[in-house]
Amino acid sequence: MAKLQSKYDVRPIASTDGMIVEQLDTELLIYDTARDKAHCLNPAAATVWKHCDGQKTVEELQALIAPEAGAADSRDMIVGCLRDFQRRHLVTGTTGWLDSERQVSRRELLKRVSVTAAVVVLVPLVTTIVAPTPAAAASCLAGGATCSIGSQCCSGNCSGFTCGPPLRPRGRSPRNS
Amino acid sequence: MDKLNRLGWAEGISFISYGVRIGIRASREGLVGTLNDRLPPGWKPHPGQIVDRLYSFVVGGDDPLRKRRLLYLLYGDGTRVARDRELEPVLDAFESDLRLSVAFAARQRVFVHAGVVGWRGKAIVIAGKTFTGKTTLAAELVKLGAEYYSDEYAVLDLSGRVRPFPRPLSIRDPATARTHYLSVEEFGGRAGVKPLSVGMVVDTRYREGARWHPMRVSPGAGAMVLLANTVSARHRPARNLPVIRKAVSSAIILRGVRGEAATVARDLLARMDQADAEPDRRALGTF
Repeated sequence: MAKLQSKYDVRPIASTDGMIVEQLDTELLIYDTARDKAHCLNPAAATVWKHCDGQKTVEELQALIAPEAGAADSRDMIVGCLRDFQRRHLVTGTTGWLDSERQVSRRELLKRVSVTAAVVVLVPLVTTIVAPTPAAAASCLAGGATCSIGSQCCSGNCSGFTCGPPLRPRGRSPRNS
Repeated sequence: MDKLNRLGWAEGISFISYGVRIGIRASREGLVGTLNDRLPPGWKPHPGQIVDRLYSFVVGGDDPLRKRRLLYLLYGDGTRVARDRELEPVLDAFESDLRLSVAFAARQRVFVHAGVVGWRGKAIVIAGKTFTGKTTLAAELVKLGAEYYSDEYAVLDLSGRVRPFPRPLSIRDPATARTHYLSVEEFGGRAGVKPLSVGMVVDTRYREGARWHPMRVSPGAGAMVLLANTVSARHRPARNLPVIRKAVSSAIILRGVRGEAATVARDLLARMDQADAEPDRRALGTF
């Protein structure tokens, strides 16, 4: 028989393997070395992530954020927050449970919660970027400039010593043709 | 690399820049001596023979014996960096690859792709990709009296302060896509020399006709902007994150599209002055 678990007994665990964590005032910066992605957790998301210790249940985590919001709203907030964490590999222990929970878009949630500045700040938010490669974080040449190899051009295409337009991936036909 | 090493090398030099050892060798005499203007700011000769990156120039030009024109070739370690019928594009490629190599390998500095000026003891960092208008905005700020630090890299030391990287400003001609260089003195400005703490991070790009209504965002958002433009972001995250945190911790972070640079430059300096005069408001984020 599959291992059964009550929905009241879900205890998320923050993933820390390969994560570099830096506290920036009340926000949290997390760099995922396995995926080369950087995440910025706003104060509410940072509070939740730091309390994902495998001991606290979802209900206990829910109580940490947005006490001003109604029970249904704070439930949707914590579900959305944990879903964001799971999608970004920031927590474990929530897989089956999250699938069974109602999904509310952030826009809908923000609309529903009375949009005062105080409450908006409390909605947990995670911002993610893919860390750039060295070449992506450097200056490149515009179309028409003289080049020697593709990596010099912003388009990646150096054709006949001149930067050309970006090349389409092989095997794909252009859209709308 | 072995094939390259077997070629006859007529001359060579080695130097150090931001702690990175660079070697240059050429197949014909007379080339290496002309490269000084293309080396990174603050380079110093290095007596050692072991280098972190070795550039090899195979000098081309007319070959009277075989009555043909040979290509100029440039290799970085064993990989070809450039090849061209003319020398100038190969030298441009060399300069750009060299700066990137130094930015990537520097151990005590974090290089962020950004324009930087100094204003009353604080740095304004304009981070962004190529063609977002960093140089134009930095040049306008210099015209208004700011000290010039860089139009390509914000060089952060381990305490999060910005060091100068004062190469000439690179101005692009939109018609020809060619770049020409102007010294800061030609703009009537001056270069800064002291390390500065970051007073402002600006995340902006030029859009014709746009009005400048920047949004103030959190230090975390500022850190993400800097990280998204950091050359060694993937290579040394454990070193970069604390440095970036220190850099943005007391800075104003502004985000928004901009129109003409002159208006924006005046507004940025006014905001810096205001923050200087009313530090409590800076802490409260009420700009």
